[in-house]
Amino acid sequence: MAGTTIPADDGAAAPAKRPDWLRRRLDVLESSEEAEGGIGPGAVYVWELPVRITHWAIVITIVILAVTGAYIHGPFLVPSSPIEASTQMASIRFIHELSAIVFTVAIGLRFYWGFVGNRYANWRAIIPHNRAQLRCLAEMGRYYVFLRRVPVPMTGHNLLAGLAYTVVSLILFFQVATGMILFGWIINVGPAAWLTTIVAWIPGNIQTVRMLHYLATFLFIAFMIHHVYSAILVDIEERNGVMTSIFTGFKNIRADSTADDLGLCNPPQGIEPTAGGADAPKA
Amino acid sequence: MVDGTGFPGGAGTLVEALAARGVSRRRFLQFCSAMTAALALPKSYTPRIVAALSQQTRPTVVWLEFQDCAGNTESLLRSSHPDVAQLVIEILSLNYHETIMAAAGKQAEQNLDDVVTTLPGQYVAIVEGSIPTAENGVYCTIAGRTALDIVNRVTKSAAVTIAVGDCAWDGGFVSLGPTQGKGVGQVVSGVSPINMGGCPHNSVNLAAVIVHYLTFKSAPALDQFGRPLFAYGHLIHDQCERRSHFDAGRFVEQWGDEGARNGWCLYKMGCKGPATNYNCSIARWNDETNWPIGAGHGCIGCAAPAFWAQMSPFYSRLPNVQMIGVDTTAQTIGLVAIGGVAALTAVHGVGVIARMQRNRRRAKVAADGTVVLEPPPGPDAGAGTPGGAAAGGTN
Ligand code: SF4
Repeated sequence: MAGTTIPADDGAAAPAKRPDWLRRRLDVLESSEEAEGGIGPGAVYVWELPVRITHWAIVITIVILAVTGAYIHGPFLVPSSPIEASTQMASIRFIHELSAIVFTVAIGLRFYWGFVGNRYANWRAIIPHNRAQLRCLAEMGRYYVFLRRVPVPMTGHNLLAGLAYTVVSLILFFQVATGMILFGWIINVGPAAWLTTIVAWIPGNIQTVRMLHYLATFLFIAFMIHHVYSAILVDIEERNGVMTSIFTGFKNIRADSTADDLGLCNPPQGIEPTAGGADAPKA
Repeated sequence: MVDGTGFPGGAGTLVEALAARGVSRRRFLQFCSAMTAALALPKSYTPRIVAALSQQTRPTVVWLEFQDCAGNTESLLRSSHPDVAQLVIEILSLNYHETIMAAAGKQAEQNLDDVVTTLPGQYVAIVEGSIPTAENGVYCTIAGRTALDIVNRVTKSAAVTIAVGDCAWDGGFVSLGPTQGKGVGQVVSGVSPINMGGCPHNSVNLAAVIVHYLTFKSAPALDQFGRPLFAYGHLIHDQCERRSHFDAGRFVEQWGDEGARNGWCLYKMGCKGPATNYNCSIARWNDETNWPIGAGHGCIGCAAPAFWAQMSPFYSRLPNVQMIGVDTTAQTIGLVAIGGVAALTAVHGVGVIARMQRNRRRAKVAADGTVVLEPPPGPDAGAGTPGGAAAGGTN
């Protein structure tokens, strides 16, 4: 059904029409009209369980890792008694390392889900890699600088967010890699010893790794500020329930009325839409 | 032959030389045990080391000194337990060492030439100090030859080359200066020296390397930087007497505070023990009296590669971030990034609220009960109505 509802299908064939369809969609949204004819509330199963679980596992572990990491960087707590036995630093480092393992597994699972998950979780829908997607990305950019009135309606991620997640994913991988090198540096036996070998090739050696691991944490915090803000913003502007969707998996949107499901942002080929489809659990 | 001192061995051997200097067999055995321990070998290796050293004729050693402070020579000469320096000097036929040789001038240079030409592949070359490379190395010349020239000539026909101290390893402090000092391994092609990092190196480790070489006829196992693993295989942090305070979370916050008086961990004072591999806390200095952290100062990472650049600032945990003309900390950059994003977010939020207010003013309820906007001025004029949009969607 998607792709047949709009003439000239996707804008790649007729880029001149772009402002039209977008404006039409937008006016629908901006009117807050939820009756027949406009975008109605629906239940589209967007975020599958692994996506939601990994999302929250990453959120929780990032918070734990940032706080324990801040302590490890500059211990700000003082043991209650200077005489009694204490394992403050040792325990906090243990929590940091344990959370790091959960964090790594969660990232690994989400990465895997980018290949086997539904169309909204697929890497093709997230990493902008063709012209139609770049167009949607540019439109989202225009929205953020107030040149557009409402966001490009999307069932999955909008492409600007996709780009941000691509960059954030790289930082996530970087953080896992540097963390493992620092861990291997301490363990320094078995396979972990191999990690320390890498250090010889890094300019500045282990201190550079340590500094970058610390610096990247700030980027996560900065990203989190933006991420929460834009999620709330889009929730208000589109009234699509994006904020609750990360708990329930369902968005309050009709899949055939969004840019990605209409094929306007060139959805991943060969992946059947699941919007309200058979594999969705009952709401 | 067994002489009065109890040494077995023949004329010209190491033990004979030791006996001649009044070193007792007991002391010699103590030295061998210490070397076994320094090499991290099991105790059962001691007899093997004793046997090997007893049968050795003294290996010929030349000690080259270039752009340096003679700190490594000092390190060698200042150690006395168990007379390591004496033993090193005795077990070696130190044919050339600028600071301590008796010969001078032409005669001294003749000694060096003799070693290189008559004993190729049979002598040990120890290099101290960096080798200036700017202007073809004219910044350090000895007897009319540049250090670059000498180090190439001497190390290329040596059986084994040992670079002592940080400067001979990677150029050290002076590598940052105008003479462009470099380490032995960086200027001599085809020679991979055993790098004894440290500023200065610890002579216990040097003696152990030589003993290893004499006993097993090979260099000890090396790490990726060419440093012997027995001395550079473990983190200082893992062998530190203050480690229990680290794990407990008790830190020196300020020089001279209660923690400093109680010997707490120096982590917050910029200790680089967690970043540095060395057996400093075990080999120790000044007759194994003490070592920097034991004396209350954080480790500066002197045994780590290029430590002058990489471990500074010595009193902070992390290196600074150097960008074009700016020298700042990772924390500053991070906080600026967070502040920037937060500020942009706030500004954007204000913009969104302003737009919502404007839209609210422009909104009208249409006849059919839906909410429509007045046509906005400017390029957006004439945007479709909701009904139009729906129709467009089903076209
Ligand atoms: S003083 Fe330095 S090496 Fe020792 S435990 Fe503290 S941080 Fe580690």
